[in-house]
Amino acid sequence: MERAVVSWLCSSAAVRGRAHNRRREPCQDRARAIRRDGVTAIALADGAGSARLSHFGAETAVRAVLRFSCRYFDELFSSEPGEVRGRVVSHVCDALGACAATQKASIQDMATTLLVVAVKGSRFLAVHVGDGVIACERDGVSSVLSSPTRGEYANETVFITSRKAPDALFLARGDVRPYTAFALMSDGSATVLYDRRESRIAPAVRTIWGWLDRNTPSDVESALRHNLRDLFLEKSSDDCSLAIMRRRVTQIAAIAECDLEFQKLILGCTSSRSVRSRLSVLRCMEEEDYSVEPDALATIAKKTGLSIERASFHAFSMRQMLS
Amino acid sequence: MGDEMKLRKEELVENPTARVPVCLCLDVSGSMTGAPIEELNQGVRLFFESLSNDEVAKYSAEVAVVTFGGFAAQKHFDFGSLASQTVPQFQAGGGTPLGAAVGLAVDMLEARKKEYSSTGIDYYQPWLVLMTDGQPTDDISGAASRTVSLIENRKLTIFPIGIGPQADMSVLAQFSPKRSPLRLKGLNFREFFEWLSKSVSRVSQSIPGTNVPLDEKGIKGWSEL
Repeated sequence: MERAVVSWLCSSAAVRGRAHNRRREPCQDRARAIRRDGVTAIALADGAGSARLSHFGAETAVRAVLRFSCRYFDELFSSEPGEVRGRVVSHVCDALGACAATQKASIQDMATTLLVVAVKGSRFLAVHVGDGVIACERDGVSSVLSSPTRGEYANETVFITSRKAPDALFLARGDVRPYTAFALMSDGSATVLYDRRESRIAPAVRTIWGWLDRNTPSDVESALRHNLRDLFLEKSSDDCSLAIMRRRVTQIAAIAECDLEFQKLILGCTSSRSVRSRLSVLRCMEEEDYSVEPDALATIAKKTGLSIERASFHAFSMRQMLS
Repeated sequence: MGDEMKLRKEELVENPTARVPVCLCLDVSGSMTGAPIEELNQGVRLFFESLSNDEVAKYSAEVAVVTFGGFAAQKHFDFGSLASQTVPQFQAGGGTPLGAAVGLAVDMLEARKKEYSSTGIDYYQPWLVLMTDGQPTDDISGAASRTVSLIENRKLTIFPIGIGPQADMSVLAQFSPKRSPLRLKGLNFREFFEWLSKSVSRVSQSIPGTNVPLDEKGIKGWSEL
């Protein structure tokens, strides 16, 4: 069977809601994506309305959790659930505490919800504290992976800075192969994308995932921003944000036909030189039956003209991405 | 951006607006006869009009009215959307069965919360507005201990308001362990209900994690502080 490269494409956007616009307050939602250390991850944070610096809190939490989940993915995937919950909360709270110190504020001034999905090879992990929703597409069916944690009243939720955050934290880990897409939505976006009574995802989420099949992530990002502003803010006075990731399977033979930007996305490269190296390594790997034994790596290095270290790095990276 | 990446409204879902249940528990005893009952009627009408004119509150506020006069507490109408209700017109007369009225109001609030939960509708902390101009003519101890327990467990917000110099503020205080009762300035019902509708509106627009402070400055417009 012909091998293919599996990659995860991501887009994210956040817009300021009517209530914050009217009071000239900053958008307290943040959504970002990252690709690092063989991990693709998206994160979203919705800063607490009552916390005066929660826009800093949301930004800090998203950056901290993305770096953390890329760097420690293997440990987070295999450790005891209780330990993972504690480590995630304490790492993000440490980052929030450091940011609060520079602002001469308390960590409670940085209160925020947090949603994350990270994928490495055939494994994924998802983390969720507070309101908002994590949606997924599994075996072609879209569903809720994690639903909002709320208090009795509509304006109550749990934040990463709350005492009960480690216990309230939702954690899911497993085989990512049945999944083809994930979406993180803030409470504002969930107003129109998540049916609370039926616990059902709106058809729009599937449509949005489909955009990443035919467009570049940056074009999708711009479209997300327009839709959030033009459509979502009509229905929600809250800030609205969304982060999505979509599985893309590209036959090896077809990669050479793609334009350079797509080649970078598919192969996880940042430069054209790196794309050329990976394509050469891929071709040689095919001839070596995708082995990463020392003999095969030596042959790949010789054929591609790369050092044994670079050839090995590319070969191991690509092997994780092969279907 | 071409039409290809524009969502259609039909692809989105409609969730019910989070509700703010407010129960008005009003004294219509004989001592309210004349100007007080007329001003109360006008104030309540203004309250309904203000909420109906507010783009968010008109969908989220749900008002119920209980009165106490004669020999019994009376449910004027239960919680429902503002569009489905007609503004009540009260007649003054009889005694002041305050305990029975508060008991009835709390029963109605509890029942409404259960309905919200069973139908998947989000809601904010319920409000009970208690207005009286005199002394109760029934036992208030049972009703007072219920409101105290609810308030201490963050299940209820109460606004106890005394009308005129004869209102017994120490009785009202028994219903409200956290918020001291306030005495209405003269017959400033309209100012009070205008403040109340604005406060309901602010809560109905609040987002998760937001504590909505009361408009303390606005209270001076209707209360003798």
